[in-house]
Amino acid sequence: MVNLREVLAFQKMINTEGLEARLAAARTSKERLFELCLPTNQPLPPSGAIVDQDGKGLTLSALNPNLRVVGNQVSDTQIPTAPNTPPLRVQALTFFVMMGSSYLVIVRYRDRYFVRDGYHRAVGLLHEGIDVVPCILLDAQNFEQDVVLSQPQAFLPYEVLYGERPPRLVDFWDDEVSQTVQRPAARKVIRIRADEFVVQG
Amino acid sequence: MTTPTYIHGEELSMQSYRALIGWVNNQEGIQLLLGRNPMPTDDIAHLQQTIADCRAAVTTRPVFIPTNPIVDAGDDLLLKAVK
Repeated sequence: MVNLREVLAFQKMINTEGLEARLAAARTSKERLFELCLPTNQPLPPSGAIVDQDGKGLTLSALNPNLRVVGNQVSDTQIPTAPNTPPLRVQALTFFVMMGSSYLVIVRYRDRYFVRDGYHRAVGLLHEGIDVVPCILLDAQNFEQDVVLSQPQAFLPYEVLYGERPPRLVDFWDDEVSQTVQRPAARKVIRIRADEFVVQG
Repeated sequence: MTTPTYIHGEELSMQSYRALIGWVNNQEGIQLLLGRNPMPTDDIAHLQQTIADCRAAVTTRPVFIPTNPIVDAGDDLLLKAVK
């Protein structure tokens, strides 16, 4: 268990839409709180994609910003061509997408503890006065790879986080240092397109 | 994370966020408070004041002393089950 009041934040802002609805269950019992922080059912990526008219591109999207490409695979496969003809042997170029882990993850690096995943929930729990919560605790070896997940430009810089007055998670609710702002709603979109080129040489 | 693409003239659906204004630079603070990049017609003086106030509130805080946030859960059966 971790006390969220003692944890730091490297994310500059959090979406406060839907917080009450998401946290309503967690208030009712410890079991529900555990399910919110360490869910047994992980969110699934969208099950369909929009296919380009020429069949060479795919687009999928989700409101969940954690939708992301996590890898690829090149493999042999066979596809049917026409009835009563043997299948055609082809190369499959496959991309894997997922929603990411939905666990509340706290990461420790150089004696400071940060929320790595689960900002929306963690900030909402603090708003509801729920400070001590279950989480996954990780020890980071590398700040950029293990803490800010190779996206340092999206978060507060290292100098701020390891400065004399870093932001705590609870500061999101302190009007002296934080503000409510309006921003355009956003969807996460993944677009995969296979283009063909002739290259000389 | 990439910057969202805007289509000029198209109506946008807006959502509420909380932003740590006291720790961002002036330019980013203006962008966060406006919800977009500033335009020449924007009066940003009051936004700059808000940013300055937030930053000043941060500087008046005591120096952070790292503390261990881990809480001993004792013999919590639910936690044992999760482990």
